[in-house]
Amino acid sequence: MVRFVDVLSAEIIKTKRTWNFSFVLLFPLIVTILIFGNYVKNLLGENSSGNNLWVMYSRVFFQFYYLLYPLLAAVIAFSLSNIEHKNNGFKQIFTFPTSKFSIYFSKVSILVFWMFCSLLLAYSLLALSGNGLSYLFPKAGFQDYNINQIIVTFFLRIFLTLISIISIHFFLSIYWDNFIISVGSACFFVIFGLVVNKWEYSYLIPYCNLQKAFTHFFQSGTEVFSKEILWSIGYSILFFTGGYLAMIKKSIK
Amino acid sequence: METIIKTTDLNFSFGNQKVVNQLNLEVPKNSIFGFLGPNGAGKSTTIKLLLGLLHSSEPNIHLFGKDLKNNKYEILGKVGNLIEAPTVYKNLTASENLVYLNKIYKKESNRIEEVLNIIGLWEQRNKKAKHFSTGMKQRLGIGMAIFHNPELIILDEPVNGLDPAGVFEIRELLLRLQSDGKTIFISSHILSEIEKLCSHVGIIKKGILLFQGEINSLISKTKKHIEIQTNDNKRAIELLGQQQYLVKSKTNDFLEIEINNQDSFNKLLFTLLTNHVEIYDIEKKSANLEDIFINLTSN
Repeated sequence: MVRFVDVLSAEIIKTKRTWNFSFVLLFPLIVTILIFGNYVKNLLGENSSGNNLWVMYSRVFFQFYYLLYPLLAAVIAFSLSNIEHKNNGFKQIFTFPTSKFSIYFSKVSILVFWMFCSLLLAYSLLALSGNGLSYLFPKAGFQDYNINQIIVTFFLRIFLTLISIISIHFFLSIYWDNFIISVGSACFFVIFGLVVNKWEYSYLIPYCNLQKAFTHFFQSGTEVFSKEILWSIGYSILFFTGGYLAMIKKSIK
Repeated sequence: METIIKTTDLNFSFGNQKVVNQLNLEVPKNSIFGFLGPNGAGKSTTIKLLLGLLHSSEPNIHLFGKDLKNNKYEILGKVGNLIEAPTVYKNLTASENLVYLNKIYKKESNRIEEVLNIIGLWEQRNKKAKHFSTGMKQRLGIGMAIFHNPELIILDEPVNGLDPAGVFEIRELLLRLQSDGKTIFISSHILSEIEKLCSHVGIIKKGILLFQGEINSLISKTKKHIEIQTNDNKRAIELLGQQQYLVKSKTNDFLEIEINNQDSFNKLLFTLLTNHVEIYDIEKKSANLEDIFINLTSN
C-alpha cells in the first residue's frame, strides 16, 4: 500500500501551474504593499491621528481579509477539485494501491496548508510592515503599542473559520464541478453574512464569523475557541466528510 | 493455462436493475482479451468491479489467483488501467505526468524515459499535455497505465477518437506489450480492431456473458456463407428453397446462401447446374467478428 506522504507529494505535483494557488500567497503581499504605501504617504504628510496606530493599521488589513479571504478559499477549493474533474481523474486515482481516505486527506491537507501559508504570510507581512513603520517614523508612535496577541488571535480565528469555508466549497466543487455554484455561492454568502451578522443565531453561519473575528479584534479579545469557532470546526468536520462521500460517488459514476 | 482474471457468478445491481448477471469470466495469462457488448451491456460496470471501484458483496472476483476483496492493494499494484478518457493532467508536461506517478509507484529513475520511449513521446516530453493531439493524449494515457510495469492492463475504449494511424500505433503498442508477457483486457466498440488484436473475446449482453473463448474458435464455429450470381436468380431461389437452403437476395444481383459444410456446397452446385441455372460468379464470405457479434447480441 502506498504511503500517505507519497500520495501527498503526488497531489502536490498536480497543483503545479495552477496559478490560483500562487494568488493565495500573492494576495496578502498585494494588500500589504498597498496599505503600507498609503501609510507611508500619510505619515510623510504627518497625518497621525493620535489613536493606537497598530489598531488603525491592522484594521485596514483585516477589512480586506475578512471580505476577500472567503472568496479565495472558495477559489482554491474549486481549483483543486477541478484538476480531477477536467482531467477525468476521480475514477483513476481510486485505482491506485492506496486507500481512498489517503487520497482525499492529502487533498484536504493541501488546501489547509495553502491557507495556513497565506495567513502566516499575511501575519508576517503585517508585523514586518508595522515594525517597519515604527522604524521609519518613530514619531508616529507605533512602538508605543503592542497588540501582537490580539492580532494572532484574529488570524487564528479567521484560519479556523476559513477551514470551514474551504470544507463547504470543496464539497460543492466536488459535487457539482461548477465555478458559479462554488465561487458564486461564496460571494452570496459573504454578503449574506454581512447582512445577518447582528442576528442572535448568526454564529451558526461561518461566513458571519469572519466579521465577528474583526469585531473581536476591536474588543481586544484573545479567546480563540469561542462558540462560533467551535461551530466552524463542527462545519469543517461535517463538510469534509460530505466531500469524501461525494468524491467516492464520483469514482463510480 | 494460468488464469489472470476469474469471476465466479458475479452479480451487480444498481437499485433494482441487474447490470451484471452470473458473470463467469476467465482471462488467460498473456492473452489480449476483447470484452464486447452493446451500450449498457455491463462492460464498464464489470471493469469497475475488476478495479475495485464498485464492490461485489461476495468474494467472487479473483485476480492473479487472489481474492480482490481481501487483497485489493496488492492486486491494484499489479494492474494498470485506462478507463474511458485518459487521465492526463493537462497543465503538466508528458514527463511531469509520469513524475507524478513515480511519486506513487517509486520506480527507477530511468523508468520515465523508458515509458516515454515506448509510447513514442520522448521528443515531446517537455510539452504540456493540453497541447497534445487526441492520439498523443491516448498514448500518454496508456503510458500512465503501464508506468508501474503492471502484469495486467485493463483498457476501456483505448482507440476512441483516434485516426487510423493512431489506431495502428496503439495496436502495435499493445501487441508489443503482449509479447513482453503482459495480459491485456480491452473493451472496445471497434470490432474490426478487436478482431485484429485479440486472441480471446468475451461477449456480454444485458449483463450475461454470451460467449468467451479464443477468437479463432468463435469464428470457425459460425456458419459460412457464399454469394453467387446466376443467369436466373428467381429460379435459383426456388430450387435451393426446395433443398432447404437459406437464401437471401442481395441488392447487387447476388444471392447469399448459408453453407453448413463442403457437402452442402457441392450439392448446391449440382442442383443449380443440373437445372440449367448458369453460375456467373461465386464468392466465399467468411464470417467476421462483427457479424458474429451482431448475430449473438441481436437474438
